[in-house]
Amino acid sequence: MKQRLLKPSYGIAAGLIVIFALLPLGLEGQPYWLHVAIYTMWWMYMSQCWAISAQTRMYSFVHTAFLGAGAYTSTILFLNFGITPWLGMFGGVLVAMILAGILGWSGARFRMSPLSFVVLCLAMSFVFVVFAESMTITGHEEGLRIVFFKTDAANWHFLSKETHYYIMLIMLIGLMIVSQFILRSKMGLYFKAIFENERAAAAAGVNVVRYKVMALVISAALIAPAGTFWAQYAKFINPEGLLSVNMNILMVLYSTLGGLHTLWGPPLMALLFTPLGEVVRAYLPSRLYGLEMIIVGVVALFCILYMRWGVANWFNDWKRERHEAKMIADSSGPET
Amino acid sequence: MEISGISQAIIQGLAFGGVFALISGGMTLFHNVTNHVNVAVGSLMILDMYIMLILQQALGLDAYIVALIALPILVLFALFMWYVTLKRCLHYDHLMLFQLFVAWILVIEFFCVIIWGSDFRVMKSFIALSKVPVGPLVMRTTQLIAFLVSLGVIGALYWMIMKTEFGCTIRATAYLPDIARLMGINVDRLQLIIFVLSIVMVGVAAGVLAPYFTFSPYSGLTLALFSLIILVMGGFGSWEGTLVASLVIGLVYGISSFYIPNAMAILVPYFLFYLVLVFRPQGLFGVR
Repeated sequence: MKQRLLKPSYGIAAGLIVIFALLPLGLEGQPYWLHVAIYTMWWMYMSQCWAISAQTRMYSFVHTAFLGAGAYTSTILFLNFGITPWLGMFGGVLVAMILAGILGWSGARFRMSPLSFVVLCLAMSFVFVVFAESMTITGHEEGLRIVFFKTDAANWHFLSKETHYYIMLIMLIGLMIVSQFILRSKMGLYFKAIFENERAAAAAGVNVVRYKVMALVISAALIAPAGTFWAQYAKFINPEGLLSVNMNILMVLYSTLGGLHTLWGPPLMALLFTPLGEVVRAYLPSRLYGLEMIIVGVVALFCILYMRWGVANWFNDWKRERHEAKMIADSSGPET
Repeated sequence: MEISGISQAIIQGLAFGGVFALISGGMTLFHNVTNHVNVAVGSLMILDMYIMLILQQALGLDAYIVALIALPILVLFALFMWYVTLKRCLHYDHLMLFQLFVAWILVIEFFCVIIWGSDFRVMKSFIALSKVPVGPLVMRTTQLIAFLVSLGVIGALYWMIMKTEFGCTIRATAYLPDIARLMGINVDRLQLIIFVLSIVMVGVAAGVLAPYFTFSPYSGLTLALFSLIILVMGGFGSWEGTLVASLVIGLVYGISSFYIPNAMAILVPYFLFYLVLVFRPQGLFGVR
């Protein structure tokens, strides 16, 4: 088949970037909806990060710990030592990578089954909440506050929401490029081999432990800046908002429903589900708070019933089947 | 006083572990015949407790009597779960079925939040405040009942699995499902029966736990996590493992909450769990 110079997927990606880049102009004077847009993109970012580690069946339910490592490290460094969050972010990345390395190594080296690892991660995410709530340096349950009154780009202090929007957009685009790179690279192939059959992959010469740990560490390193971003954007971090176990569960739900080993599945589900909660909160009485989660649950049930491997994989299969059917129809024509 | 304090803590921990043996026992059964883990048990327990609460408010009966009425309602809900979703998804990948249960958790949990609010609730029972002497120690009657009922149900179940023909089919299915099917065992029906049985165990656990447990819709996750830890720590599908792990976790939690201030006490069982997983990734009694 002739290779087209401009694939349609590039066009779609470019169109999406333009739409996202122009969105703040459309939301001029509506700070709430701009906030919703930032929040949604934040969730898209996190779901995509989670999907990277899940490519090797490292189903980590502890990603909020890495998120919190990014947020708390940069904030503590800024509040106590005056180090700018632009640098503190890398400190957060380092802490998250160390945590992920320890956890991932214990999971992969001792060959825990995926489910044991899930339960271990759930337990650890509770542990991190307790730690953050009981240490003075993390500000107990009240959390930490960053106070500033004027824009100071050197310290990541921006009063306008638009600036934060574009920072998040750039982060998201960067993450999508990195994910695409991982999916297309040899490493991505190893990840997929480990996902399909760990023993066969090991027999074929893939260093299973190394790649499993690597997947988790990469994913943790990518999610930590999202924590730093949130600390600077919300100017306030607390264990309930950043470390809660429910956030882990939602992240996992979005990613798996979107479809693992795909580029656009996980962020798509976050894009669909996150604004839902804000709409419910904005337009319905406070008595009905939580309705969005019921809707998410019911939609998730239907998705799982009809799309075994997530929306994106279902779509890809459908496309391939259609293509094959067309090929068969084309080829059978002249022969008869 | 010190000695009696610590033994009091031990006894409370054992009573706590006994109830979890019941929940994890149900999960073990379900895991044995379907190879999946029902993580929605915590939320189902909370749902059962709320059903008990409205029944109590409507009828004014004691918590233990209400528990018996709530049990069939919970089983009906579980059957609904089974026929609508679970039945068609049992051949799925582990992660997807996990997500299926997570979706159910979201639905149940936030349904409870909307209907009953997120405040902590307690059930009323005529023996809620009474205490009984156990040897040299004093125990709350509700806790003693919970412990004895749990051990009784676990014992009956163990007998059923090891001694009856039905138990033999369960063990056969757990061991080699395909061969069991060839030998004429109706595996699909067995899976349904086991699912209902595990839900009944969850209902019994909720019934005996409710009179001394303050619960909110969000407690479901903690309950589920504890039973998952016990399940993994004992080794998937091992009966002895589940029982031992639940008692060990309960004991360790009881002792640590006696010596360590409240919030940090929960960490000790978690670290114990981590150590067990590192040294025996297959669990205490598991085989790999």
